[in-house]
Amino acid sequence: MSEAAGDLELIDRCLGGDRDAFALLVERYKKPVYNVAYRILADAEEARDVTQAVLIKAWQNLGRYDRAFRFYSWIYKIAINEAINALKKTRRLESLEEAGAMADGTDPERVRAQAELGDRVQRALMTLKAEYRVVIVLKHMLDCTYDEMEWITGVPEKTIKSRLFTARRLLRERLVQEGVR
Amino acid sequence: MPVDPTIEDLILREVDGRAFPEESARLREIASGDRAVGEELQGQREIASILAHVPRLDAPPGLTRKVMDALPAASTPSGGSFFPRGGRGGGRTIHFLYAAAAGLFVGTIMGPWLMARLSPQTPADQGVMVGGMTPREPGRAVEGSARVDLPGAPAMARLIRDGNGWVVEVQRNAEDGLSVTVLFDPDAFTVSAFRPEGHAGRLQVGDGEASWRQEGSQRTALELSRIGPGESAIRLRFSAAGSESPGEGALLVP
Repeated sequence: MSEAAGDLELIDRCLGGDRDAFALLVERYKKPVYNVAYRILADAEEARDVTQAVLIKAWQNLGRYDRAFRFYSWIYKIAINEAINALKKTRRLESLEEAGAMADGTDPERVRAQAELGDRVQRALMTLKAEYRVVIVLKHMLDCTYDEMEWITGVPEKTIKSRLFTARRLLRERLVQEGVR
Repeated sequence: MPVDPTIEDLILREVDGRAFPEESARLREIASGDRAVGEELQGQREIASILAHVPRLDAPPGLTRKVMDALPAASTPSGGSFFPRGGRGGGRTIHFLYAAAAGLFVGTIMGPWLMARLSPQTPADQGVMVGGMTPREPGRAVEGSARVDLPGAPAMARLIRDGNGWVVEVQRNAEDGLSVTVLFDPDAFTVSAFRPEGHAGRLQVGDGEASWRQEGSQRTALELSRIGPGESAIRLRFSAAGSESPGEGALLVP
């Protein structure tokens, strides 16, 4: 059975009130949802809360899920919206100019190279506007296609591409400033 | 420095691995004569490579338990009915029950009818399955995509790895119909299944070629099995109803 069939079967069971089936969906999607939230918010605690909220919202609205779309697109759409709402609450939609200061608390000797790269990319991401962060996360963390990105964000594909191009350019500039090549 | 939008699009296609060989060649030629374009291309490639190496974080421990404990007690998922609400364009949304009924219709009535109609040059003798669309989810990796501009709306195609086979999925969000021809190296691939979402026109399979007609906003999948080495490119030819000029695209099997 493909994972897709598994999802739909689990959804059917959920709609019949089967919570164990939903626990399996949570297991399947908690990691990508958490990554979306963390890469947009850069705060582990907030990302955890958002992930929890996304998954609960998914349960509550499962009856509205449109099977014309892939389930993961639907749940990522909820995740992006929740993360952006969390940013709005703390007025962090714009770039964090002070993001560089986050580096101060990091001890490079106690983190592995890959984790360090992740930290640096995260700091650079946080210097970008939220709209740029979102397209980077969707394209490079979740491997979404452009039409999936269009559906998830509600932004035309042409704009998505333009944003992605600019976002990559800005991200590279920030990383070069940090010495990442 | 701003880059011409056409070149910007070309760079995106190249970095995404979706550029056709002739587009890559054209971009190389432009980049060799324009330093700014060359640097932009290099920069976009570098950042895409860096992002590919960023580790995916594990969700915090105990999250599943917290979510399950937080679900409203004695509730079941709601949010209204099973029926979709809106979506992007009314024509794209598939009514679930309608789809289920269509699937049943295709499976029990149209399926045998379609199979019976599959003449000797069609899939029947080649063991091609004709059946309902298999939805895609993360376990079935999307390995490539193509967008072909047509009058009214573009046609979209995706290449999906599915077990030992490859699925070419085609969709166009428009009211008018779409004629599809998939061209492949017959020494490299064979058609193993045809899965329209609802009713599609008769599948015709020739030597290195499969074609059919589908209705507006319908999604259709053609499954190809690798049978040997050979040309990895799968060519696509789409024609919108009422249009004389077909659009073409390609997918490259890794």
